[in-house]
Amino acid sequence: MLEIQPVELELTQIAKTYGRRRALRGVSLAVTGGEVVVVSGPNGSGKSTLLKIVAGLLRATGGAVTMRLGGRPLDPAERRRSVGYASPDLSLYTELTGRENLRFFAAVRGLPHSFDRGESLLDTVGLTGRGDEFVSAYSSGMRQRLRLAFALLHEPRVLLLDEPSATLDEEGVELVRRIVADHAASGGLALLATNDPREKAFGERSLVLGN
Amino acid sequence: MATFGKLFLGVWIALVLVATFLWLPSAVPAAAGGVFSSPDLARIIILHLPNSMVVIVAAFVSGWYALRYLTRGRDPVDDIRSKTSVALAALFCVLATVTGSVFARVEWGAYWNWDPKQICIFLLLLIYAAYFVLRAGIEDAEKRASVCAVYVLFAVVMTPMLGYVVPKYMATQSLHPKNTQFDAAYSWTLLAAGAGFIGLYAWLQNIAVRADLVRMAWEEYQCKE
Amino acid sequence: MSWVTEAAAVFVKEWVSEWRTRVSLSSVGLFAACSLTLIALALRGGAAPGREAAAALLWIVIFFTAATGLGRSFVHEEERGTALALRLSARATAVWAGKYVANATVLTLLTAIASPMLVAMLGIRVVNVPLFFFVLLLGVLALAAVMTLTAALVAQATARSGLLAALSFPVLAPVLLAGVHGVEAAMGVGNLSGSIEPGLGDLQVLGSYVVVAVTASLMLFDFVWND
Repeated sequence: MLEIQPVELELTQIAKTYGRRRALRGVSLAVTGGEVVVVSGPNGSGKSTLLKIVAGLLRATGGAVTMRLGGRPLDPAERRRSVGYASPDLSLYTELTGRENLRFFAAVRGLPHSFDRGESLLDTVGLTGRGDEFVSAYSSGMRQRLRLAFALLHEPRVLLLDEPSATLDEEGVELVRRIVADHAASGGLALLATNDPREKAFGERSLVLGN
Repeated sequence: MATFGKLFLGVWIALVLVATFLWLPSAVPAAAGGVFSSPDLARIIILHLPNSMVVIVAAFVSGWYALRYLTRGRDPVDDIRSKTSVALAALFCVLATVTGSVFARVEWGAYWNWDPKQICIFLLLLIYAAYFVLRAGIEDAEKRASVCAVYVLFAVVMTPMLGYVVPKYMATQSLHPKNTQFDAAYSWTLLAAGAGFIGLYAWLQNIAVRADLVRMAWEEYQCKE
Repeated sequence: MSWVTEAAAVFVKEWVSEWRTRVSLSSVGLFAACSLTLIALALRGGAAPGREAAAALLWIVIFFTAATGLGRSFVHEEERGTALALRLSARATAVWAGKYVANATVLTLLTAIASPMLVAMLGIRVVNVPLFFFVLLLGVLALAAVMTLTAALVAQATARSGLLAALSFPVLAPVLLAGVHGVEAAMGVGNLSGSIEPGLGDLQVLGSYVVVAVTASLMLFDFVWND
């Protein structure tokens, strides 16, 4: 195991406008390793947008995101490849099997010995024995489990989960709780966008976005 | 300063026009070995050639601001500058085509004959048209700006090749005279007209950018709900 | 080294996906088949066109087939949301390279099938086969390079139909000019002896175009992909 690097995330006055609609106005936040922040707010308050901006998938109209790993700030391209992100907007390849998906994403990340990791992740998320089925045959809950495996594939220090248990059963909610708790215990930081009261209990800090 | 610039530009262009019509001698007539069948009307070139100069300048300016947009802090104003320059390049492309067609008609009897320079201008027009279709198709402002900037830059890198490749293959006898025997008076007037047209472009660019900034501020204002 | 394996992973994924869904192969194949049939019907068995027209027809088929098929890959990724997963995982240049090689192989396959068919259909003799081959190969590599970048641009827009052809045609004009001329030379236009000489200039133009287009696309793709 590599030495664990301390991680920090700082958002300063993040703003985003879509055409004439303002999705986010001046959101600021500072999080350090070990912390879990629950981002909540009514529909359309910009929870998903905020997570996408932190992941580097969307460019903010104003403000800045700074992520430091071991004290060193990451540039946007590094940031994108270092976060673990899962959201309902993200899909994996339906024409590939679950295992092929994980193997592909490990390969494009250039991860060594990636396959073992993918294998154990399939077990972790509860897809044991289902890895060779095409994702097109997966139920929405199984797809969500595979998304979680995708997010954890490269052992990220920052987890960004958008409504992680929306399509999951009770056992799945417990899985998410365990993933988030383990992640925080190992010094990682996590942002959870949700309005689900069960998930709100996963983090000790909260950020409420207004409309 | 701005008023002085405008005044200077107006006087300059007026002087160029006066020189074109009153001072410039007519070209060498065809009978005497010249290329123009109507030597008096050869003066049209003063109002034709500078358009193409502006197209080239505007194309590089749009490329420059596209590069600046992508590499320096994604300033929305750089996107506006690049877009405005593309629009002006398209406008001057049309002007070059129209004046060139009139010129070709009176001197050589044909509006259009697919000669290399016409093809190049026409392809540039196609690029600019495609640019605005692409622009209209993207909702998100930040995404639109970077996608369009990439297309402009790609076009700026790839189009200079046209200048070499098109004449190589389109060997139809060109209406554009190759060894124009213009006297010094023509060269000087052309140069002055070129400077005037580029000044005109700079002025138009300035106005259009400011108009867009106002539009942007207005949208920002409306955004307040 | 790791960049190469990453790009290779993208390439392999493209082909596995393509083989299982046939998103672009089907549209490319159908389009080529339709246009070849149309040419056959329009000629009604007789009145074979000249070699100049044949060279033009060949490039028209290749260009528009490419424009219908090559855009699919990026659009499909954006529409399904797999683009997000790929953006989070892969380097932009590796994605471009993998997709470029995949597009180039699709287009090469198509050209390898369609061009002998067209030539046979029109009853034209190719006097210099190696020249014919290399002109088409370099032309296809250039087409794929330009269209892989423009397809990524088009995938961001909402109105996509026809946009790929409109964006890439004016940029590709040098390729089409040199390609038509080179194919003519290979068919013996102004080249009675069937030597390679008359086509060397075309190969030079095409070769340098490929180099410039690949370099420019690789550098610019980063900006499209990372936004």
